[in-house]
Amino acid sequence: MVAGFAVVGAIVLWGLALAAHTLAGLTRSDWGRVGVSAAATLGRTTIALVVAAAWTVPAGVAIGTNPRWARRLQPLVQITASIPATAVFPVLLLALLAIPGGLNVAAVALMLLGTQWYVLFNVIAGAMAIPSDLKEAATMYHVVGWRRWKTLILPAIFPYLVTGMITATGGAWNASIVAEYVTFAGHTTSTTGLGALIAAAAEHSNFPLLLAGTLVMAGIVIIINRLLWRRLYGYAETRFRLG
Amino acid sequence: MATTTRAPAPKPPGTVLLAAEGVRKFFSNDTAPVLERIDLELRENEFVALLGPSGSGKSTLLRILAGLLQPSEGRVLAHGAPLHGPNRQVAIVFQQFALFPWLTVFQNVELGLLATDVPEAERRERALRAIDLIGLDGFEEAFPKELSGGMKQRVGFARALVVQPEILFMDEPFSALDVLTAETLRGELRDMWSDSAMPTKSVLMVTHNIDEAVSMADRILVFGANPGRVRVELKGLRAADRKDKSPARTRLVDAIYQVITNPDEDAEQLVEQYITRAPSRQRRRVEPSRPRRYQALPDVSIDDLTGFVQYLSGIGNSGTLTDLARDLQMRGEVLIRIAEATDLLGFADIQERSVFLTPLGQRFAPLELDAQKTLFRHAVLDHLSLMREIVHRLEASPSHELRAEEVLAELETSFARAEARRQFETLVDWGRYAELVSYDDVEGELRLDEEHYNA
Repeated sequence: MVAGFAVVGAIVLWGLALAAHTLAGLTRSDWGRVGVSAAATLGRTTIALVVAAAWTVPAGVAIGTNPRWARRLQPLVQITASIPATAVFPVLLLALLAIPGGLNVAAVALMLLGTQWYVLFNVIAGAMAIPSDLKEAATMYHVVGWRRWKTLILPAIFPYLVTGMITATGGAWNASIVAEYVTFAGHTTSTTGLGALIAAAAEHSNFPLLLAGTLVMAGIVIIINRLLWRRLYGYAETRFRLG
Repeated sequence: MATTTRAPAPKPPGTVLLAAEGVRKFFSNDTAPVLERIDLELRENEFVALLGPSGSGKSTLLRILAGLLQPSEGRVLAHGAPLHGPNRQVAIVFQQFALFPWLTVFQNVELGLLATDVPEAERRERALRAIDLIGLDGFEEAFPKELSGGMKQRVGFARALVVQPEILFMDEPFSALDVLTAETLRGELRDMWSDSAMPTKSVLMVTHNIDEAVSMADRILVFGANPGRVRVELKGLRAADRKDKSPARTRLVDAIYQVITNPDEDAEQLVEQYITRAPSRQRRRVEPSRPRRYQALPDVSIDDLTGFVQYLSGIGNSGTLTDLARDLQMRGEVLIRIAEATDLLGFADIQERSVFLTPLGQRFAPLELDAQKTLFRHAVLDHLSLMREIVHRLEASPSHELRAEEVLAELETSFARAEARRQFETLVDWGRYAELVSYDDVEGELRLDEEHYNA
């Protein structure tokens, strides 16, 4: 047992030493690139998540609170969601590369394609879970319009929305690796971003940069989850739990 | 519990506030209606109960009258004008309270006023007054999850009353509460209604509890299922007769039981029979073929017996044999045996085709095991003469022992051999649970329960 721990410990130490040694090969300007790239991708994922929430909340609530729509649209949404984002990407690229912003915008679109469905499914589930007597009470007490959203719908779907956003956050960051650095018909197109940095480093066997980029990405996702989503989730659990 | 019975407020039914005319309701593609041609008028100063089994469409009717559902045919008239959209005369108290978990008690109560143009200061004052009226003082800042079921429903009432609805709708308002809480709230509501402490002109209550309807309503509409329809309309009792156990109340309850347990018979006729002739209650009991010295013990295990009492207590202390057999998924004769056993021990009363828990049975249900056993021990000694005799003989015997053969021989004076054997086994089963006797099957010997008697 003790020997086992010692072996594992030794391997971990050796790995750490190796990693440190690898990272030591990076220059200050390399780290600068990592920082700038991370900021760019952070911006893109944030935009992607905001756009995802902005359309999936009204759409999901509309579907989830209308049983007839829910029955008809849910299979359709599931089929659409099951199409891999990368399959649609080339088509999207052709259309988007021509516009100003090019891959910069197309990358956000790809992240969206890959992650918005998590949010949509969760919002639909949340809207469907609103108890009918709460809806009836809201109707009887004339809680309508924006007040209905504020008093009934948003609090009720909030825990579900947070769950969807947690999954989407991880997905968007991962998607950046394929979205920001695209090899298509022999051409490589890329934009500034942590995903592009990782993809390029992998292609050029730049292991120090690959390791740095991957570690930073993992770190950012963990920090966002800890500082933002975990807290929101805890808040949702205590304040907005139904039943 | 509200024991104050006030003089009946002189409230003759007045103008029609709300009416259903030929209302039918189909759900989606069903060919059979959920509700079949309902005509109903709700008048000023009336407390109307819609009473019936589940699936009889009474909650659906309530929602149609509230404007939450559209009738498939017919129409709803509010003050004579066809109703479109939610009925603004009405506030609803819901079975499961329907409180917003993220709002405080105060915010939940204030909710109904937010949509009105009542200024904020007055809104606040009215909400606080409603909270006070309903006994929620001090809970203003609490969240619903911090409250007991009874307190939650008080919030439900306060939220409904604060908007000063012309008509108060209640959908099974007490059925999610425990028995005592329900009775307390019922009493308080009765008092508020008869004192005119609430601005409400009329009350419509959906319930499946006959006692509840009879103790509160001025008019009772008994619903039947498949399709949901009104089977009979009954006048409620005078306030003086609404007290427990008044003969008029007992007659009315019996009549309604007859109607509900005989879904295929003519309701009017049944009611006429029961209310006018008021037959003495007959107990279903089989006459013994030969004179017996001992009561026959039904072949019922302790688990079934105590479980049945617990179950009855959980569903409001009473149920019809038909419903119980269905809900417990038991064959009718098995259920009747169990019911008879509880009746024999004084835990329940079988009247006509329904079982009611007696006060003893109601006391028994929530107790812990040891206390249940004590109560059971007394019940057994009170009601089973053979058990009494056995215990006396055991106490008198120097060794505190009794041969099983002696007891069996005794039993065979009243029962055939096989039946005597079965009677003995039940006796031992119950005696063991009551911690009165123990039985050594190998030696064929009954003993006084040692723990109990040597302690």
